[in-house]
Amino acid sequence: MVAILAAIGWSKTGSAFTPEQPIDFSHRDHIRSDRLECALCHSGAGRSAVAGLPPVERCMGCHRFVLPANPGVTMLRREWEAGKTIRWVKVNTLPRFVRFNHQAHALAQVECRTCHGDVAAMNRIARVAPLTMGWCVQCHRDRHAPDDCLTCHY
Amino acid sequence: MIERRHFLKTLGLAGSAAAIESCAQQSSEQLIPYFVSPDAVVAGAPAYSATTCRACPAGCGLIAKTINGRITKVEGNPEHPIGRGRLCARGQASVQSVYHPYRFRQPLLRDAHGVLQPLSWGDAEQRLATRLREAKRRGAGRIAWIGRLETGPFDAIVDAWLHALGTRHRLAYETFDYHAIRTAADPAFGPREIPRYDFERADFVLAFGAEFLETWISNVEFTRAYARLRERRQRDPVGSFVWVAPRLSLTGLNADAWLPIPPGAEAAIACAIANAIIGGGLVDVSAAGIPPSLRSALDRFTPEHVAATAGISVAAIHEVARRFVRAGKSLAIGGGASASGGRDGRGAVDLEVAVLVLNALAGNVGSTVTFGSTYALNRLATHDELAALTRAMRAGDIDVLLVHHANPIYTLPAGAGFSDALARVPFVVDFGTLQDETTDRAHLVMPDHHDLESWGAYASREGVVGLLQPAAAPLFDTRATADVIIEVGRQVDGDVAHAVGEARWDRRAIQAWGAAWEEVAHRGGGFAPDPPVAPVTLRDVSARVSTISFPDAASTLTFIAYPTVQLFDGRHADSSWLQETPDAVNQTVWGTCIEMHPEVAHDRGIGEGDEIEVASAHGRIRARVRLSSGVHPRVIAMAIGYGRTASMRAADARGANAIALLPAGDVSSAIWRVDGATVTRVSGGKRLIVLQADSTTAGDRISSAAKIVGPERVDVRDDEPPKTVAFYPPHDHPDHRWGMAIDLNACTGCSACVVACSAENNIAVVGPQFCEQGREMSWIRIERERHHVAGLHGLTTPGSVFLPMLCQHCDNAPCESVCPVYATYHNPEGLNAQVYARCIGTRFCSNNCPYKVRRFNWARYGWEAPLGEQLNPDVTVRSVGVMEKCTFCVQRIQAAKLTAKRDQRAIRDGDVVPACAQTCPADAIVFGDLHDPTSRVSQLSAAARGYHALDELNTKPAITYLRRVVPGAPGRDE
Repeated sequence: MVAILAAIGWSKTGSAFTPEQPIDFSHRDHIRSDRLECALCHSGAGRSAVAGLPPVERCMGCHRFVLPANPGVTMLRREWEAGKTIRWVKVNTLPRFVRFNHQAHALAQVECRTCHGDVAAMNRIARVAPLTMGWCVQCHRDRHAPDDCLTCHY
Repeated sequence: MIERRHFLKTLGLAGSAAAIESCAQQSSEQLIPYFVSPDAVVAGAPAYSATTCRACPAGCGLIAKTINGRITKVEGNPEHPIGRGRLCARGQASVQSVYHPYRFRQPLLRDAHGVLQPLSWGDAEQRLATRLREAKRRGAGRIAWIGRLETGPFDAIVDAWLHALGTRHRLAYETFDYHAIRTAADPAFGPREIPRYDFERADFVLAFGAEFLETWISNVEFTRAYARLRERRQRDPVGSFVWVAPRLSLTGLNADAWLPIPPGAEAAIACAIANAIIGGGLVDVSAAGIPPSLRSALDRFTPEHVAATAGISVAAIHEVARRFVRAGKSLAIGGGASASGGRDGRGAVDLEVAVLVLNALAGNVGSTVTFGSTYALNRLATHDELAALTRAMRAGDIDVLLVHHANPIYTLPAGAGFSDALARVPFVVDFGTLQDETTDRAHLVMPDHHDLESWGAYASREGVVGLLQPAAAPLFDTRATADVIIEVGRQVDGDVAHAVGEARWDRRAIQAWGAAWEEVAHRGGGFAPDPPVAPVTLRDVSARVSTISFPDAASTLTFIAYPTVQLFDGRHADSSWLQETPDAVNQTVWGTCIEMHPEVAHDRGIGEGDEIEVASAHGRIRARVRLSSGVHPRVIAMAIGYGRTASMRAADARGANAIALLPAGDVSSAIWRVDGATVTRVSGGKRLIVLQADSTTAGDRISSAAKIVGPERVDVRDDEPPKTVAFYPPHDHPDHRWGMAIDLNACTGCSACVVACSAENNIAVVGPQFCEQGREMSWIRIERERHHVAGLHGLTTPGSVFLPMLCQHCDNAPCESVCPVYATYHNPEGLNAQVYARCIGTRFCSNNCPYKVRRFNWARYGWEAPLGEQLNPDVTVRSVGVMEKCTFCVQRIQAAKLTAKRDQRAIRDGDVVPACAQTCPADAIVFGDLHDPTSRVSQLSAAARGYHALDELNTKPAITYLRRVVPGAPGRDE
C-alpha cells in the first residue's frame, strides 16, 4: 500500500508543471541567443515583492523590428494593435497565505536559478522546484535567514 | 461484507491519494502585465503623492499611498505646516470614500417620475449650458452658486464664470462658520478676521466651549500644539487647561478643571472673570491702556452677582481668573454650541467679545492671539447672505442653482426655509460625489471627481497653499467641476467662453504654480513664512459689553447639538469606518444618543437607554438616553450628523437629526442651541450600542489600567516591581525587541489611530447588529476611564483618561500558552505573532487575554465593491473562523528591514512607524526598538511616569503607558 502511495506521489511530481502559454514564448531563445539578463524584463525582482513581467510595450521595443514573421511575434503584434495585454499562466505559484518577497531574496543574493531552475535551458517555463514550506525553511536554515513564522505568514 | 478495518484502510488510502493529487496539482493563476507601464510605477511597490485633505476646512497636508494604481492609505504630509505629518480620524477615513459603493458613477438626470437616470456628459453639459444661457438672457442675478470654501485657481475660475454669467450670487458655505469670532474682532481690534491662536506658546488655555481638539478651526494643528503644551506644563500644580461650558465634550474631558455652567452664561462669566482680573489688580502691564469706559461696562459683572445667577461658586470665578493671569502666557478661546443663540440671538458674538477682552487684559494679543494670518474661513458667507439667497429663491428670482460640495438641505434647520425655497428653483444642479439630502432634490447631478482624484489647490490660511493632485486616475465616469465649467462656458456664449478660457483644468492647475511646480509637486504645496503680525490695540467695546445679558435662571431644559470629531457636520455619515469608531465620550456607534444628567433623568422617571421624544418650538425627534454626569442638569445634548434620509443604506441610518430641533440662524451665524425643550418618555430601556464594557453611566468606569499621577510626583517611578517567578523562562530577543510607549498625558481620545489602523490592516466593518453583540473588529480601541479626583476651589476635575488599548505583545503572554495548534507564539523580536493559516478558531487565546484585544472573525465580513480596491495588499485579509489582533504593523517592520538591507545599513530609530503612531496628532504613540538605548521608545519607557497596564498579572507587556498628569491626584492612584 505504501508502494501504491509512493507510486502515485512520484508520478504526480515527476513530470514538472509546464503549462501551455497564450504565446509560445521561449526563454531559451531570448537568453541564450540574445544574452538577456533576468532583471532586464523582470525588473521588479530587485525592487519589489513581485518580480513582475515586462509590459507589452517592452516586448514591442524589440519586436517592432525583430522577427516580424515569427508566429509568436505575430500573435504579440496582434494583441498590441488591439490594445490588449497578454494573460500568462503563472508557473511558480505559492499559496495565498504565503508572502514571498523577491527583493529580500535578491538582496540576499539568492540566484534566480535556485528556485526557478535553469531557465536559460527552458523553452516553456517549467516548475522544477518543489516550493513546499519544508524546502523553503531548509534553505533559510542553511543560509541563516530567519525561520520565524512571521517572516512569511502575516 | 466488508470488514470495518479494511473499509477504514481503503478510505484512508483514497483520502491520501486525493491529497497527493491536490498537492501536485497546480492552481491556474494568471500573470497579467501592464500593457504600457505607467511612469515610475513598480508593480507591487507603493507610490506616494502629496496632496491636501478636504475632509474639513482645516486643509491638512496629506500623502496618498498607491499600490498598482489604487489608493490604499493616506498619511499626513510632514512638510505641511498644518497637520505636520498627522491626520485626524476624518482625514484617515477619506481613502475609504474614494471607493464608496454609493458614489455617483456618471451624470444623472431626474426623470418625470423623480428617478435619477444616467445620461452622457455631452448631454448633461448641453442641458446645463442651455439653462444658463436662458437664465442669463432673462436678466442679471438669476444664477446662484452655493459651495464649500475654495481658494486658488478653482476659486478664480468659478468667480470668472459666474461673473460672465451675470450673477454675483456666490456663497461659500460651511456649516460651522466662526462668524461670531470675526464679528467680535471687528469692533474690538479692527480686522474683521479670525485670529491665529498659538497653543504651543501658551502656558494656560481657558476655553469657553471651543472644541479645539475635535472640530474647531484646525483640530490636528491645535492638538499637536496642545500636546506639547501639556508636556511642558506637566509640573504645574493646577494644570494648564480650564474648560467652561455646560457639557464635557471630548475637548472638555481633556481639561484639568471644568466649570459647569448653565447654557448661555458663557459671556457673562467671561465678563465676571474680566471683572475679577481688573478688581484684583491683575491686569497685564501691556494692557494698561484699557479704556475706562470698558472698565465701567464690566463693573456690573461682579463675580458675586454672576455666580449667583449662574448657580456657580464665587470662588470658582476667582480661581479661574487667578490661573488665567498667573500663567506666563495664556490663551482664552470661545465657541461651541451652547454659546450660540440666546435671547437676542447674539450669544456667540457676546462671548467672543468677552473672550477678546480677556485676552487683552492678560496681554495675550500680539503673542498667543495674533491678527494678520488671514484664514480662508474669513470669506465664508454670513447667514444674512444665506437668508438673502433663500429669499431670492423663494421669490422665483433664481432660475439655476448650482450646489458644489455642500448639503444645505441637511445642515440648515427647517426654519431657514431653504428647503421650501429650493422647491421654487426650476433647475438645481449638484456636483456632489455621493448621494445626500441635497442631491436628492437636484434635477441634474454632474458628479465631481473625489478630492483624492482632483487637481487644484487649497490654502486654509495665507502663506500655506496646499497642492491638490490626483493620487489615482478617476475611478468612475466623473468629471472635474472645473472642466465642466470650462466646457459649459464655451457653450453658453462668447463672453463666458472668453472669461473661462480654453485650457484644460489639469494643465491650468499645474501652470498656476509656474516655475515652482517641480518643488510644489514634491513638497505638497507652496509654504511661505508666516505673514507679519498685524499690530492691533483694544478699542472701546464698552457699548458691546453693555449689551451682554446675565444668564437667566430658567428651569427649562436647553437642547444643544454638537459636532463630533468623526462626522463633523454630518458630512461623513456615509463612512462605515467612522460610524463604527466609537464616540470617545459616550462610546456609541452607528447612531447617537441624548446625553442627560442622571438626576434630571431620575426626576422624570427616565432610565438609561430609554427612548424619549424631545420637542422644541421648531421640531421633534426621538432618541435614546445616555445618562451622563458630564452635562449640566439644565442641558440635554445630542451629536449632529445622524437621522439621515440619504447617504446611507436605510438599515444603517440610525439615530435622529439633531438639527430638526434648532431655530434658523441669526444674522451672524448658525444657532446650535434651543431653550425650552420638552422631554417625554416614549418607551423603556433597550440598550444603546455602546462598545466599552463595564460602563453603566458614561465614563464612570474605574479601572486600574489607566493610571494617573499628580503634578508633584511626575518624577517618581511608582509602578509595581516586576515579579521574578513565572511559569515559563523569559524569551530571548537576540536582535531587536519592538516596543511602544503611549503617553496618556498627550492622548486626547480623538480616535485617529483607530481609523488609521482600520485602513492599514484591512479591518472589517461588522455593522450595527454585530456591534451590538460586541463583535467589532478594531484592533485598537480608545477606552475612556474616569478617576474621582477632588476638584479645587469650586471647579470640577474631569479626571478622565483616554487609554488606547491594543495588543500588548506581552513577553509572558497568557494567550500564547493556550493555543492548541501553535498559531500564536512569541517571535524573536518581541512580537506576539498570530498566524492566520494555522488558527482553527478555538478562541481560547482571546478567553485568556486580560486586555481583551483579540478579535475573532465570527462571520465572513465582506467589502462591498469597490471597497475592496482600498485593501492593503501587504496585509492578509482574514476569513471567518480566524483570530486576529494588532501586529505592531509587522508589514511595516518587514518593509523597513528590507529598506535598511537594500541601503546596507542598520535600522534606525524612526524607520518603523505603525499606522497608529504615524497619524496621532498628539504624538502620543511612539514605537521602536527597546534594545536600542538611544531610541525614543526606550527613553520614554524608562520615564518615571511609565507603568504597564494590569502589571499585577505579570504579563510583561511590550507597551509602556505614561500616566496622565491630573492636578489634585493623590500620590498613588486609588
